[in-house]
Amino acid sequence: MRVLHQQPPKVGCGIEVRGISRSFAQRGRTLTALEAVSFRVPPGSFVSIVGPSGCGKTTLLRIIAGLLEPSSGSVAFVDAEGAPVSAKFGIVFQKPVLLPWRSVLANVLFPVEIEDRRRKGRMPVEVEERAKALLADVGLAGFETSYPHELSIGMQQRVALCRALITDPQVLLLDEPFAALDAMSREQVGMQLHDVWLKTEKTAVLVTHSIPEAVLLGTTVVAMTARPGRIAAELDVDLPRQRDLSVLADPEFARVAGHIRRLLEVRPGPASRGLPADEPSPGARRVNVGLD
Amino acid sequence: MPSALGEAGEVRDEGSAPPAVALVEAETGRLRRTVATRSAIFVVYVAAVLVIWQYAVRWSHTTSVVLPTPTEVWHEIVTQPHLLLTNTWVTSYESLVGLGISLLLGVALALVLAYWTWASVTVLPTVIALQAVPKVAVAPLIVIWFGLGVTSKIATVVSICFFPIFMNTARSLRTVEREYVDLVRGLHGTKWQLYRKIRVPWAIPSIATGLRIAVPFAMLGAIITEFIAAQKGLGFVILSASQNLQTPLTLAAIFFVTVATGLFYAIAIALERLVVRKFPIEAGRE
Repeated sequence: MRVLHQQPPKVGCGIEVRGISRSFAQRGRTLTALEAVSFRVPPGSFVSIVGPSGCGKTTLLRIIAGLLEPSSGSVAFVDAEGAPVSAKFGIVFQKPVLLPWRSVLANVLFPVEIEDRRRKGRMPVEVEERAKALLADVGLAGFETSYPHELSIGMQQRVALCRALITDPQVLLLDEPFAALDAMSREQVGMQLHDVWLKTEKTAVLVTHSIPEAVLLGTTVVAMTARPGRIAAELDVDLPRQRDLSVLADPEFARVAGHIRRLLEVRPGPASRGLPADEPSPGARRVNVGLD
Repeated sequence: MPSALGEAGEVRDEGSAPPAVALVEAETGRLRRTVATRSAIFVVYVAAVLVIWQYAVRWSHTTSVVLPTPTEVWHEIVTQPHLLLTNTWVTSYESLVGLGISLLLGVALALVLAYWTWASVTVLPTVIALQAVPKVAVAPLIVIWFGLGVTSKIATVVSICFFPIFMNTARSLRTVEREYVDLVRGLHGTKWQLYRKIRVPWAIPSIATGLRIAVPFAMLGAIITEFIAAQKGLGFVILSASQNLQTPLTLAAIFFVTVATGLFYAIAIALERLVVRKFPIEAGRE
């Protein structure tokens, strides 16, 4: 992360979600996706939102990103003192969402083009260098001129992570970014994401249906229940900020994960179709979240 | 008996498990042979059809007005190559110019409709309603409007080819996935940026597909209008030759239309492949 280190320290950006509700009209009926959801994301923290599918977590993330209007409630971006700031986001979606006709490098540079509306001519060399350094940081050096369809999904998702970081946003919004990956790349990309977050001190909001993923990466875990999506609990994870996969064996990890599992009424059992990467810790039970 | 069993086993082993490399070679060899064999079968098949045609006509004493032999058709081709080639050029010219205009109009209108909603509300129903009109029925009217020359043929071609190109382009401009829209909106991008950097490149393969679909219709439109009123073109040759009971020439002209259409279609397919390789939208979806 050498390049990211060179960035001047930024004013952290926190998020205050205040009483968000959102309903959709569906075949004449009103479907409440979110009901009175409130929580705080302190500047520099990593908040994981975990819940079964249909609990409105993606809807919540889209509302935070300003892509969707809430039916009621508001989202505010504040600094450490609570004063409002304007926030810039980097979004990573479930799928890589790369532009297939652009090279890897051109994909990473895409947000710069969108932000700099009036720019004419070539991309500044230093921006291009920064994009290359970001790619190198996630192990994609030498793939700059490749095209997305030539890469695996895991590699594509790492390109998407670089694209989210190129404009140096204060807030990273991650919408189940590992959902499309296999178990191995999930852990790898997950830890790369953790390193990026740790070294850049960005504020991150991760939406996931995997309890272990949420606890492994989050400083705070927000557990949500489905239909309508409500917050069941907000739990602080009492683990060091800097983590590696060994925390999966930590008693605190087991405590938080176990607590969330009980809250979400996840039934453990051999019949569960828990995702392979959900439960890497030995002896832990398999979970059955998000399969309802 | 055990020794006999052993021998049998050895023999079977040799037969059932050849070395992997040999297997691959055998496989590619078979493939190469298959291609050669298939071409050979096709050539023999075509030759057989021509021979059967030739002798069936001769032995049944069918007059050449009803059905000429392949050699009679061939005779027309070699004795009047200039007539056939110049008229093929005329019909091709009408089709290709018509296709070009259809491409420009169809893509332009689709681009406009995709950007301005009010335009799609008013123009789209009109275009769809016009598509319900059979163009062949309107062709005589088009001749009255645009005269006996090439212009009326080009106009008919445009009236037919515009729609597939327009529809393909318009549809793919609309079907950009939500995540891509979110990507641009999340960066506070403008409607124009979304349009220019996502939606338009997204639609490019479909433009090529629309063009490919339109190619056979272009030749059809040109020929039909030449039937109605023309002094040149393969449609004119076909019509006047058949009216003069010159069936060999009619068939020769039909042969030229077919070859020209096939050629243009092959070019359109190659172009479409090229474009899809450059804009692999489907590959980007998963």
